[in-house]
Amino acid sequence: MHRAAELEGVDRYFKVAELTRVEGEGSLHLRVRDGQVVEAQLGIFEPPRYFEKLVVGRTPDEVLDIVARICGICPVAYQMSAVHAFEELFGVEIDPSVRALRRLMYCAEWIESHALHIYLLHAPDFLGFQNAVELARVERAVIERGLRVKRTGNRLLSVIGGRPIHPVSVRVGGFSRAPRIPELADVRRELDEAVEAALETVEWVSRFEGPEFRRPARLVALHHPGEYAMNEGRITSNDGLDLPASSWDQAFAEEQVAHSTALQARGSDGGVYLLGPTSRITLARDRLHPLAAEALERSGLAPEIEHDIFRSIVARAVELVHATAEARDIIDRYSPPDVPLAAWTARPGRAAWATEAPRGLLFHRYEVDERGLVREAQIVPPTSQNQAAIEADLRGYAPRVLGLPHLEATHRLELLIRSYDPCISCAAHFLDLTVEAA
Amino acid sequence: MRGSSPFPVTVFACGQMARGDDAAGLLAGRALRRSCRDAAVMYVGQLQVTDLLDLPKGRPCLIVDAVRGITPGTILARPLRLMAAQNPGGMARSSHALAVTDAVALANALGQPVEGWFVAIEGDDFETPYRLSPAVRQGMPRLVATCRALVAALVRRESARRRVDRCA
Repeated sequence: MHRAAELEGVDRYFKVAELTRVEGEGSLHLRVRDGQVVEAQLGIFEPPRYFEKLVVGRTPDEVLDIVARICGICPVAYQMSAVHAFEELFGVEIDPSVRALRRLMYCAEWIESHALHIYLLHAPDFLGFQNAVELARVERAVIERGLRVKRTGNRLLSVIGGRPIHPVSVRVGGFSRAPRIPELADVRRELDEAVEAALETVEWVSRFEGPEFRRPARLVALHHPGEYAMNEGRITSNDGLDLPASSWDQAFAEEQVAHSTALQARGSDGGVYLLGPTSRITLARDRLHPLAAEALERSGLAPEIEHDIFRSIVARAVELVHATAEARDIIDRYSPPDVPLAAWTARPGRAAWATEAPRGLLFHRYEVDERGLVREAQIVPPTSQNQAAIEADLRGYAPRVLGLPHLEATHRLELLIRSYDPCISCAAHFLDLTVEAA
Repeated sequence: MRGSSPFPVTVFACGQMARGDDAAGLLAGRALRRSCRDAAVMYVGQLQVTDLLDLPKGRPCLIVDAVRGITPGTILARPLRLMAAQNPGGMARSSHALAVTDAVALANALGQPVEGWFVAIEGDDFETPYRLSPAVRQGMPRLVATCRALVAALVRRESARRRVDRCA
């Protein structure tokens, strides 16, 4: 092991690489010389998955089933961005109960995704455990709590979408089938416990002591005047951006970088920006469910969430409260739609929309021909938008850990990366970080 | 019609029909459901730790899947207890889905010791939808026979254990 002082004039390489069975393949390459980061690359080497080509020539309803396959964690997000884009173009008016049901579906996805990341992926880093198995051996009740919450999200999604992963009920105009009230009874009971567990989660993660990395960041999220934005709202930022959900491409653009098979998105000025719970909490905390707002207030961490990416776990936990509490409210008010599936007629044109996936803004754009078939598609997942921000933060943060022993530096950098809950392909995996001295 | 088994073994059939040889576990599950009254088959796709936690206390299980291997068509069978023990660190890597060994290790850590076997066939082609490779197609009867034999062994063991409990 070398101390930083021993490495003057030589390059140090930080590398992260991973292959897994079903999800994304990403790597980190960090080159340091004389204490300065000279290269910080979030490499994505997974072969392109061609979803934007797979949907060409397909009907809108076929697109909904295809894009759900992009991710096993956030299939609802892909379906929601697509379905709203088509309905906007076709002028479809949906039943208010359908609107509520779609919001409930999104809550289910946020619940399962956030619970998974907080309990199984992220928390062990803060508590000095290698992984959730180690944590479970010491804090069994804690992991059981997280799994119970996650299961509630999965069950809720099963009731609405027909199955917990890759749901099949979403259709342009509504749902192929809407659940009856008794079908929601069991999961409604579970949600009482899930809300309590989510509140305990906020208290738990608020006590985590971890590294700090305060820096200014451009934050971007949907904002809706009447609710915490999921399916609808305007694209806003903390520097005054205000655009319709369909106009993402007026302010942002994708670009190819040599070290990634995924496109990176940047602002029109070339600047990086951050999506996800951190941005949503900062830009729309006044629209949180009262229970979530109280939990955030009690944590006293709202300012830290805005400036310190290591506090994103608190933002995620606050959103867990929001999603469980709102899901409970929606079920209590729910009455099955009179018309679960509105009639619609396709028309040619540009169908575009953005919704809030668990990891942030997800933009879809489709060019539709006169037969209602997709001629061209653009899908911009949150992780591809966060990539450049991750690289910028690695560049900014790495100098602070270079003097630490190898393992500690490794741990800190991994912790930083996990804070974004990255999902390359859309799924990302960051694994064994190795530090090599040239 | 099959009668109900006094000591059923839960069979978790894993995989995806649309991913070539990855369908082998699901197809084996289908065959067991038809032909093995002691097998309570659950089609889980990707095994979740909550699937294991939902097992009735003490009920043995079989996890049937396809794996990438060196010799397509080869059948692998590993005791779950051994797999978990060989993976004491577990989940060294960040992932949104737990590997089988991680799920078993996590269930064990949560006080649900999982007894049973992991059975798999080494696959060749995980790309061609809805079609098994020749090697896996040829190996399917052996996969099903191995599963059936292990289910029978688990039932015999459970039966013997209960006799001992009654005598104690």
